[in-house]
Amino acid sequence: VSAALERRSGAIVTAVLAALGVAFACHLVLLARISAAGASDVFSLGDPGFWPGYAALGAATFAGAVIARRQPRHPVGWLHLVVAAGLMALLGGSSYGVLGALARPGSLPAARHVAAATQTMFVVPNTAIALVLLLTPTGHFLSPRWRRVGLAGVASGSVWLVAQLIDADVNGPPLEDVANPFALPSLATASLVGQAVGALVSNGTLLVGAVSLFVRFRRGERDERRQLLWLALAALWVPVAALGAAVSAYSGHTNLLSVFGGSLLALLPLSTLPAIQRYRLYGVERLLSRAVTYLLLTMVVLSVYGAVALLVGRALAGLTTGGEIAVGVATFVATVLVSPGRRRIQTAVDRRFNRREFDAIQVVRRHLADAAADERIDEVLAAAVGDPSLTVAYRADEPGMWVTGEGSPVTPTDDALVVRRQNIPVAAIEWAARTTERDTVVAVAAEALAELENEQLRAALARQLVELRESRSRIVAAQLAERRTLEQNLHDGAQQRLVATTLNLRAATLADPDGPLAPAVTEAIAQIRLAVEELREIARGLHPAILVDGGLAASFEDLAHRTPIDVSLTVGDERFAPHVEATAWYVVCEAVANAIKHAHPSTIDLRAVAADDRLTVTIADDGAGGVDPERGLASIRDRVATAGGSLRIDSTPGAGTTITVGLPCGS
Amino acid sequence: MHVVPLSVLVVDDHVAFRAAARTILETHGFTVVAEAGDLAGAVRAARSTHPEVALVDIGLPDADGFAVTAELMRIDAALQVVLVSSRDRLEVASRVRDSQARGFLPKEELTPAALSMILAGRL
Repeated sequence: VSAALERRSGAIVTAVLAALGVAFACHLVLLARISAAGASDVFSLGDPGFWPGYAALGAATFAGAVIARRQPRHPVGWLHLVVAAGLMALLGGSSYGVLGALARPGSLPAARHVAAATQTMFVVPNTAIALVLLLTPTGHFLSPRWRRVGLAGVASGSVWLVAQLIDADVNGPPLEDVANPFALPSLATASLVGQAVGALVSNGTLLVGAVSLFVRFRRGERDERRQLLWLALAALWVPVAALGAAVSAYSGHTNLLSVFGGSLLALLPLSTLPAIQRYRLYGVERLLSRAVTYLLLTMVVLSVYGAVALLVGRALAGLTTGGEIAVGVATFVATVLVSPGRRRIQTAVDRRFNRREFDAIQVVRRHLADAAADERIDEVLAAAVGDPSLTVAYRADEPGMWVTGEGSPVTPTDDALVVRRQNIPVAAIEWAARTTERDTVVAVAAEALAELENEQLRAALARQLVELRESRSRIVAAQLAERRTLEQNLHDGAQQRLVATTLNLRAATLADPDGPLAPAVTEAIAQIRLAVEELREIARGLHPAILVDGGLAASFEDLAHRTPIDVSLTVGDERFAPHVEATAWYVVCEAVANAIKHAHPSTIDLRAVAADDRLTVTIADDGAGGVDPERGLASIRDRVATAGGSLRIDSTPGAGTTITVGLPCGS
Repeated sequence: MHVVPLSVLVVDDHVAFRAAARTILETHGFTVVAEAGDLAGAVRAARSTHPEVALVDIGLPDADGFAVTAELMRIDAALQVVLVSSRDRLEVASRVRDSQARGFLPKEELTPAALSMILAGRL
């Protein structure tokens, strides 16, 4: 049956709506006829007494149609349609009976039958609403025991309906004088007992349905609780509406009474709609706490207003204008109380409703309000939810890429909460799911959205810097490799050929030392040796093979040998990554060449010391000094910056220059 | 100097150098009994020809000259190894000192006289 329902739910809902529409149209026609018959005082559309019925009919029809169409397997939608059908039958049957049995007797067929039959119809919505309460929001009974309650409701409802139908006095006002053609006077006692028992059990079922909602709420997981909170929101209106209804009844405002009554009847189906459709579940708590806040605030302000007006009025009783002053003072006091009162009450209500989320949000707010706070937003969020393992990744400019606050790439897991602004990802938050509920993190992240966006911009910038540094390192490494290749090619190619040629020429002179061409050959050998020497210098400039083979120690030693002045060395045999050695080597060559060229020192002191993943190279000369510590030695500065190192220049005119370079050399 | 020429194994991956070395060494006092282009070839040649002198290039494709020196001297402890390179003497000086080789000659300075001086311990 349920499969067929599901397949044809659309058509069935349409058919039910069409039937209800036709019935309502007939009802309107009947009302017009009643009015034409001069009996509009008995039954008319404008009578506020019917408004609650119309409100309930409209709400049940709307909620029932939406739920049944979207979730045909969910019984509550269909039950709402049953409520609507029952109400429609009641209203339509009454108008039929009034016209056919009272206003124009005999004008309609079976008017008395229809009147009596439809008078019992209020039992149908009654029973259906009990089932709605028992089945909201999941569509299933809480347990088989609760199913029995539902069955009892249906059974007692049926008994009640039949017992009424055979009761001679079934018709209520305005049809109380119309005879019931279904009456069975012989069963009058049974009818009365049946009505009493049926009413008792049926209404008891309604009560048990309400209890079922509370039980669900207490047992429920977070989402189911939220679904039920929608009903709580409706329930919140009950005291207001009841109070309003009582006051309007007391003061004789029947129209107002109908408004309050109608809103009460309409509220239940309307509040089951979002609960079952799971619509905006996450916003409901906030909505509820707001509603409670304003309810309490209204009460506080009204009582303050009343008390002040009363007191001031009494104090000024002697003055004629006392009344006006009292009203003015009361208004002033109440107005003054509104703003701080609202905040206080909101805080108190929030605390009652969701302590943890409330506290977490407060931590974030305090941070945002504190201009001097220097904690990063991820630290604040971690502190707010009390989870030190919380991390935040930010969306980088590159599509699909996430980075840490420092700009290094990171991949959030699927469980991460992706914080979005206008559906564009801003940040991804990960935390220990066992310790903190997702909703708390959602709320806290929403509070910190602006700050997260700021941090995202910073992270994107950091990412760009990291990329820049990486690309510079790659370029340097590529240059290094290229130079090594060039050096290798020079060494293996041209140089080897020239060496072999030298040897062959020398062999020629050795074979004939006194030949006529011997001096020419010797000269050729000398020229070739010069060429070899020049090639070697070029190769060394490209990339010293000695650096590759012997590291800083060997290459510094080599440099000291070639340098025309005294060079003292302090350097260990330790080896470093090629780019670190190359940078150190380049800096030392450049600094030494610079010193010799410009400062004319008598000695240079070279040191290379590694400690704590950092290679510190110091070049100290006793020359003329006077190097600009901010702008001098630009090429050294660039090289060091590319390697991610630090540079310090101490240079006093006449007292020499000390260049200190720190290079990261960790593994 | 020598009535019987000293037998030499030339180990270098450049064919042109091996040929030139043979030409110049055989003008006086040496005879090249074998040539090799890498460590494996050098070991094979040393086993089969038992040379008295080995001229070993420092930069070989599969090993450096120091490793070749050690390997060849394990085969024949009496072998006299002289390292050669087209690189500068300064660049390799310390490592040549630390090795078992008799000495070092820049390639372009290779002559029978210079080799004899090294073997005699005078260079």
